Amino acid sequence: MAFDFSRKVSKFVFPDKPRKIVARYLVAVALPLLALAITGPFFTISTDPFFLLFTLSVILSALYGGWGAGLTTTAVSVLLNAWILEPRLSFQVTDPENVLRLAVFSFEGCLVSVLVGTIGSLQRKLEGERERLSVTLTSIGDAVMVTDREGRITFMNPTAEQTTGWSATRAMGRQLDHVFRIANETTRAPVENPLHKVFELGRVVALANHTLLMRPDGSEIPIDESAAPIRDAGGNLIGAVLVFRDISAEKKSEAALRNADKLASLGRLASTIAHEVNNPLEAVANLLFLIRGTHELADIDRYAETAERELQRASQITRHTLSFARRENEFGPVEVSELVDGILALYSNKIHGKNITVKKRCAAGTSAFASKSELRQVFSNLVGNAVDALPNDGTLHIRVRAAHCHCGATTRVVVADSGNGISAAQLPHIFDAFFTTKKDIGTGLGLWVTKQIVEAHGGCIHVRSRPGRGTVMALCWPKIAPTQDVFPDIVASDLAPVTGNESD
Amino acid sequence: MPIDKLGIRVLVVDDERLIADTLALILNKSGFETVAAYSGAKAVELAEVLKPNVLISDVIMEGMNGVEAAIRISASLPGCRVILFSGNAATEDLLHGAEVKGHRFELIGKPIHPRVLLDRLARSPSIPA
Repeated sequence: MAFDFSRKVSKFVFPDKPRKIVARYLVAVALPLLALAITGPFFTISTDPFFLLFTLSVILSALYGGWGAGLTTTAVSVLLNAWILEPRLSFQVTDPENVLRLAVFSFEGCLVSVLVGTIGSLQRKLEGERERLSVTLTSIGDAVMVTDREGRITFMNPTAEQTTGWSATRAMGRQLDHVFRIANETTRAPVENPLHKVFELGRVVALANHTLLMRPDGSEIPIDESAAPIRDAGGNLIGAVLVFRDISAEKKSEAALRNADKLASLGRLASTIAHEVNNPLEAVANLLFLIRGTHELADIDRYAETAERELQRASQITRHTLSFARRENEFGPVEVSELVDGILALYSNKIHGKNITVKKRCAAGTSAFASKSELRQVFSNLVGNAVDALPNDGTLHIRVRAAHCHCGATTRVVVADSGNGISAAQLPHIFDAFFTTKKDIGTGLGLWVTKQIVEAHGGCIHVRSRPGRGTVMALCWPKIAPTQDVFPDIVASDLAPVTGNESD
Repeated sequence: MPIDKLGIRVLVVDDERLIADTLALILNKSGFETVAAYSGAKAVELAEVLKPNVLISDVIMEGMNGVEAAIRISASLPGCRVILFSGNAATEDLLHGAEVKGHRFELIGKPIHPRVLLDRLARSPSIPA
């Protein structure tokens, strides 16, 4: 409240706009007259050494009307005193002491007028600037919150109020951590407030995507945010500004695209499976036909044996298909090496058809904390791309090992092909949605979805490619959940049947 | 009207070796002079020497696909009957491409029973409209 009162006083003394010129100069002339009227009965002008009331009237006039008014008051005061001082009622001043007094007063009056006037105009400018900034912050679409050095909220704009669900008056002065509570979208583990990083590092911090803002009413909205330090003129950290945005709409359209990719890959999968199953069936039909037309037991035996092998092949394919179709959206540790084997089995026909050599090196015990179906989608995309890119007789390298990455303890998977590579112009776009080099069969969503999935799990993915030499895709997948206790509903016994079913 | 099998040369093409081999065996036993090829390129090469009366080919194959091979072989052997078989949806696009170039081939869906194929061979060519 004290803050508001001083603002009001300041507003009265230094209004946003200069006052009307007539009022300013009327006051400038009236004040010294008033001073004279008061001085007359109480003091003897000739003995008042500092023209006390006149000095006061100059200050008031400059405050009220600016430096011009102050100077006018000074001039009027000098004239009035000259008129009053000996010889009285003339503008002559004979006493040298009085001349000196008037000279000192004139100098003092000019100085005060200029100083007070300048302060007033600066104050007005400052007020105007403050107003402009406040209007800007209030009207921009992004949510903005400002804190002091201790992380207490000192400002939030209407968008921030809407997004966080906190009113500015309630939030003001509270710790930001209390009002701005964020969690990881996938794991729901609390995420460190970017403010702490800003104070720690003293630089701008952009948060990784996949952050959820937890609102007081229990609802959650996905946001995109960044935070920056605020420094005073001396470079000292005095606070931080946090800018964030509700990205629910973007998330929805991203989800729609992810679904489109899922449908497209299901379609591809279905046609691959039909092809894969038809081949052994046709071979068996041919063999049975041959058996019926043959009386040679040895031949019959040979045909039957081959037919059996072909049927086994068909059932193997359907088994892998089943594992694709199974709902496995639960999070848990997934054995990466096993998963890669399943993917390779699915692509085995293509791999044999192109006579591709697969060099797979898997370290033991490499697991990833993931939803199995999403992890499978990722590897299916990567292996599928590599197989498509490889020429006949090419080599596909797959390496799985434990590694330390900036995203923590991870399982690192490298899929490398000796194909045609990706041109330098295309390379920056390969993770963009709808970017494809396979015009006829690609949807341009595979790698985009892959990156989305990897990052949502807290991992990272990188690509290196040289035209004519091949492409290397490297991804790091966190081994464990970011915070174990944020999955209270998943216990080991829940996970067991999932892995158990896999091996049957 | 049954066609006299004697002297009819058939070229069977499928990158699935077992299918190409068994089909060739069946056709040979049924009296056709049959040779198997495992790729489109090999088929074009063999056709130069063999001069087949009938080409039976899978459509979707790595490298040169069945339609492409059929177009090349028809170019040098205009009288050669072409029967394509496929179990893949992408086939229609390929066949449409061939039609644009002025070729119309017989198409049988996969999987095909050998009995059906033999019946088909015994009849005169019927080209899908």
